[in-house]
Amino acid sequence: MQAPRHARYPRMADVGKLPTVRQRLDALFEPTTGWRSWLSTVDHKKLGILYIVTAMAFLLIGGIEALALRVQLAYPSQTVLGPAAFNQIYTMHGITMIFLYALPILSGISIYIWPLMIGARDLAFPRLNSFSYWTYLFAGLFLYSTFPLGLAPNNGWFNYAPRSGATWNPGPGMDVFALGMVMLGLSTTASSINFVVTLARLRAPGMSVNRLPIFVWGTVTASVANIVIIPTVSLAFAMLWLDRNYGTHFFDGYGGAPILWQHLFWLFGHPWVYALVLPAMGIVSDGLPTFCRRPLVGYTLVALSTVTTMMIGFGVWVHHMFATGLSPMAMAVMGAASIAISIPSAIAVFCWIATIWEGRPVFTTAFLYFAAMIFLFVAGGVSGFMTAAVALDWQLTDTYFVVAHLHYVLLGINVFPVIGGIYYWFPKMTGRLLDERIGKIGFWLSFVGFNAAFFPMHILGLLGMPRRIYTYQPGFGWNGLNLAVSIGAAIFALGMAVFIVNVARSLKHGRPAGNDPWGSYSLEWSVSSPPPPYNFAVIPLVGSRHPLWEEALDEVTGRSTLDRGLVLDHGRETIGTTLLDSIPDAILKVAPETYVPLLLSIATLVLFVGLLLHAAIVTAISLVAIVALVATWLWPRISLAQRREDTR
Amino acid sequence: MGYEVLPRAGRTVGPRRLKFWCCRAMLIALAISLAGCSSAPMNYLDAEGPIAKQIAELGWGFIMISFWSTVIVTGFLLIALFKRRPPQLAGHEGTVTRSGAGLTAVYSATALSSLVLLGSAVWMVSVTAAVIRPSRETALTIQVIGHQWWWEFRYLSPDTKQSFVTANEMRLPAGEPVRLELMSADVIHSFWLPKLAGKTDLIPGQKNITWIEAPKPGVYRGQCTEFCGLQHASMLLRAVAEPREAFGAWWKQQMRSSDPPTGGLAKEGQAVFTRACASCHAVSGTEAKGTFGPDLTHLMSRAQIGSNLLPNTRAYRAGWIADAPSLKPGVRMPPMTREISGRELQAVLAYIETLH
Amino acid sequence: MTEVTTLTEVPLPTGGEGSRSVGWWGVLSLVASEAALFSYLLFSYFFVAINADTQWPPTGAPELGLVSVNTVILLSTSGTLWLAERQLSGGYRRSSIALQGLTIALGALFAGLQTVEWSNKDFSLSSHTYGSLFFTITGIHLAHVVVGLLVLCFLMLWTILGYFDADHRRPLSIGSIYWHFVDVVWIFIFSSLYLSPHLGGLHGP
Ligand code: HEA
Ligand code: HEA
Ligand code: HEC
Ligand code: CUA
Ligand SMILES: [Cu+2]
Repeated sequence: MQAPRHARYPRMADVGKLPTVRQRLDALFEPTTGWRSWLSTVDHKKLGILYIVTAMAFLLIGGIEALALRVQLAYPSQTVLGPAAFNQIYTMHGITMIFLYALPILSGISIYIWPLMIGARDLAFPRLNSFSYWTYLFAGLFLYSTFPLGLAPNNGWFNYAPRSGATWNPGPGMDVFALGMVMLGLSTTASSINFVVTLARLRAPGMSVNRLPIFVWGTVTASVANIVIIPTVSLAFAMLWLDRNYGTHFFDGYGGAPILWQHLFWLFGHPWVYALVLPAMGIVSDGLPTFCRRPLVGYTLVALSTVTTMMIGFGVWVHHMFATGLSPMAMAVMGAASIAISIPSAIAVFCWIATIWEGRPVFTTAFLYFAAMIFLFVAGGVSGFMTAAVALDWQLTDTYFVVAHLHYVLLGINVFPVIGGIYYWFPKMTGRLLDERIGKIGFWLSFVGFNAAFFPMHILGLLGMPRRIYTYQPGFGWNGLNLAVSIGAAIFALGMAVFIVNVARSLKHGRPAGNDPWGSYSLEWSVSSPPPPYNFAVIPLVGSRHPLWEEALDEVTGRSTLDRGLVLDHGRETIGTTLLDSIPDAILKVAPETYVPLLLSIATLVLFVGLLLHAAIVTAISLVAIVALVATWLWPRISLAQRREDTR
Repeated sequence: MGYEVLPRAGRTVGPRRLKFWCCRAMLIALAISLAGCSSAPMNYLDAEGPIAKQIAELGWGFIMISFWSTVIVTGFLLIALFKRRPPQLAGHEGTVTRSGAGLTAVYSATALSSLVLLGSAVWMVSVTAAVIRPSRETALTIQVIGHQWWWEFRYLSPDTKQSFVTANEMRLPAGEPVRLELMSADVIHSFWLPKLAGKTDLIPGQKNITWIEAPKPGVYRGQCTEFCGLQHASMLLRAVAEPREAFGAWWKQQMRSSDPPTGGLAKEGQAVFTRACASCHAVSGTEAKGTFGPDLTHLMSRAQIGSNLLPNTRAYRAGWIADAPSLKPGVRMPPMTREISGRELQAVLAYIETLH
Repeated sequence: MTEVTTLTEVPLPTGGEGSRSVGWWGVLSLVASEAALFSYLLFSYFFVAINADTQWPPTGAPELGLVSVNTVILLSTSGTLWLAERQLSGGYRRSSIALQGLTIALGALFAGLQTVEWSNKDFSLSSHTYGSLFFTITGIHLAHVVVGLLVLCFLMLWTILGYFDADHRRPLSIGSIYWHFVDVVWIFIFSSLYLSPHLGGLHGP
């Protein structure tokens, strides 16, 4: 093959023998500093932190809303919150937790950690990454825009038609929900595409698919799923918006089918809940080996179980609709598939337990969160197994049993691993360790509070307490249990508060971490904490699944070289490698920092505000601005090797 | 380098005892709460109807499978966490190894779980198939129509003259399967009498068919279980099962139109009713034909008002008519004091109390 | 001096053409997402059609005359765009520009005729569910055509500015994947909305 004119041989060198390479890369990768750099940055580390901080803020807001719900429900016939307020608060609690916390937090951690784990200098599309973040933030603010007016969405997070239509639900809340979800969908799709392409192209040489950390498997599986499921929910909400504003008849019950909404929503909704946990399960799969001082038992099994869970997950959406009068055949098949989905989950659970069994666990705070997650996953999973039994679900559905299930899985397999993950990677991100003593206090408060809050919900459900009720009468046997739930929630919140205090304290006073405080194995621990803007002075060559443990494990398949690798310093560059085996096949350019993504997000926000207010001029102007900004963004640049160098 | 922050792998006592304690607490809580909770009228594990009984059996089975799976798996987790390990040489703490053959155990546990899951799936499908249709001909069809936030019942008879409409309190002939046709006048609701059967949704533009059977006379509590707006929480349901004869008598009585009022005040009340209430409420045999609110023809035969939220006593009736939203915030019946004077209220009360 | 060796046997392109570029993967992912969007639209269409309790479509099977011509026009743009790319990779920039212009013209003609097709309908977005589905599906497709035309315009501009040649045509090949997708998806829409009602009807008396 004849080499193209602009091709070159990447150099290989020992980083120690290249005294000036770091300075050169510093200048290339971080030209500006100060607060403005947070607006224009395309650095995955800065954007990752923005994502994580924003998502945690939403967790806090959603948590405070939950506490308000629990105050109202602590005793029967209370009037702390009236029905209007309660319905808005429980809806915003669900929206906040599911859409604005649970996935964004995982995206944030992935955005920060991925490039470091796979030996790249950034994600595949750094500018798109910035667009994802700002659009996420603006969509979140947009969704909250009517909350202070007491006109927030009030129909639950799955927003069944026709209660969401203009007839039964006038007012701006539903329009805000509909448009906000479409906007958030843009952000999620953008970040998912970014992950998929990063995985496909940007891994370090030798980081073949069978050497990927499971966390990477988890996020990429979730991202592939997101790419195909986000359109359903965006479409459903767009159709709802048309129904409400332009008189279409998709879901309104006058020829339109309310049940179509449910199909579209759950076609999205079920795969989505797995997207909320697979990356988090990956955090556990990668964290446990570090603290058990041995590789994960059954790496291949766990990777496969991740993918299989997602694949089966596409075929079970009807289990949310067992009471809607569908054909018994469809229900039996989807119920059985939902039971079958337990098998890949069980495999992951067993592999984790085997890893601890065969290892020598070190009881750090992060490890406690991971180990607790295993228990919570089983407890939450088996309640899913119960609701999957069609006839039984006719009793369980829409009771607190489902609320118990969803909190066990969402908190158990998302919040716990995420907090554990933050204990694990905080030193990498900040250079300082979180305090272990405070951390353990926080863990035990959270763990005990969590079970005290959410275990009794199972029993409430079995005693017939429906969900989404703003109050209940005495005499149903629900009083004491509800009080227990509320007290448990307060204890859990206390645990979270301790965690927040720990973070705040340790940012300044935490012990310095060094590169590798846990003696871990993956690439991110080979660079300084926090990592330099360019991540790797030379791109490492990966020879095994545990690059930093090869010595100890006496690795036979190959050895990695970390201090000696590819020197890429003709501009902002990283290496492109082949899909399966990670053999270098191109030198890829990393886009420089710019305000364009932020401006584009602002234009998008203005567009949606224009649509919400039916302001044609605002909409038109923002569309023109969007075209102009996209054109600027995509304008071919020599520095990104997008066009000939010698044009006139 | 870098292991110094790791505490020694060791046997910490605190966490272990706590976890054990948590497990125990849960088991005890579960046992106490579920073993025939007599004060819980919606506890469906203590079921009565043939559908709910079969489901409760399945439910107890699945609870047991789930409970023991969790206990066993958690047991292994705890052993894995705290089992005694051979001591490590000083200075070698935290060394990484690749010992052990956990995979075999993983495979065996997976195989075992798969068997349990397969069995559960078969059981689940067979129970579902068994309860989906009644084993006998249904004696009776009732149409249930959901409204924000009350229930309309249409008792259908082959002879349409025998059919009638009522609201909120459902009567069933004990020991007979009844066919239900579920529909909605506005948004989605869900029909649920936990002691008798599971839920089925009431969906606008769609007619769902299900069935129900009350084995013996008694009162069964239920509630709307699909979120349907402001007062979803107060869309309560009450079914009274009666022996065949009593049920027949009730039917006869419900079929009858209301008797014209005799007392002077009640007569005056009827006029007020026709002016202020008839746009929403029907009383058969009179000009009142409204369908927006519950049929009141036999209001006094019902034990509760406001969709079973309040007892059907004079005080509550008066309060309800005067200002229903204060008793049931957001209710679709406006405070009537705007339309009628205090005297007229007394008159209307007198009138509706004749509606037996 | 520093020890310098190389890892690869062949020199590596910067940026890379075709599947070596990130943009190629990016647009394919985007196309996957868009394909899903159209599948859900058609799913909604068939879901409503199958559950309809009156004749479907309520207005009778749609006329095929104009839309068939328009389909041929749209599909031919895939051919002209493909040729335009080939010409550029062969080094013939001018003829590539001409073909790109032709593609844009035909695409615009499709869009124009599509609005004529719309105005021929005697129902609207809000007449009935069929109308809602019909205009939403064709409308979303038309929006994609417009976006595609904008993309093609910029690509042509950049070709005229001399940014691209045989070795630097990544944006053109990436942009044209999107256009081909817009064409292919039309085949599915045309078959579902226009042809399937003629095949005996999905539902109805
Ligand atoms: C966070 C993610 C998440 C996860 C991982 C799951 C996991 C599962 N879910 Fe859950 N689910 C939700 C989030 C999640 N769910 C949410 C948010 C809702 C509510 C939505 C709403 O209505 O608001 C919901 C609701 C929901 C319903 C609908 C209930 C209803 O509304 O009536 C059903 C029904 O089948 C269900 C089933 C399952 C099953 C079978 C699993 C399985 O994947 C679980 C598999 C795991 C295990 C079983 C544990 C490990 C296995 C072993 C240790 C082997 C031994 C076990 C046995 C022998 C049983 N879920
Ligand atoms: C990740 C998802 C997630 C998380 C973390 C939570 C967390 C909590 N949830 Fe939520 N929940 C959902 C997802 C989640 N939930 C969903 C999807 C629904 C369904 C919605 C619907 O039906 O549409 C739901 C519904 C739901 C209900 C049912 C509402 C109803 O049906 O009427 C209840 C009721 O108790 C509840 C309670 C709680 C509580 C007590 C917490 C606690 O864990 C919260 C703990 C608090 C914090 C995490 C914040 C930290 C607090 C501090 C730092 C203290 C400082 C502040 C003060 C003291 C004021 N949730
Ligand atoms: C605008 C419509 C409207 C008007 C006017 C109206 N009602 Fe009602 N009424 C309703 C609705 C709707 C309900 C059901 C409310 C619920 O339970 O949520 C109801 C419920 C009732 C009930 C309780 C029925 C039951 O079984 O629970 C009574 C009694 C009643 N109305 C009496 C009256 C009287 C008397 C008047 C006139 C003085 C009146 N209503 C006027 C709409 C109306
Ligand atoms: Cu009716 Cu909830
Ligand atoms: Cu699900």
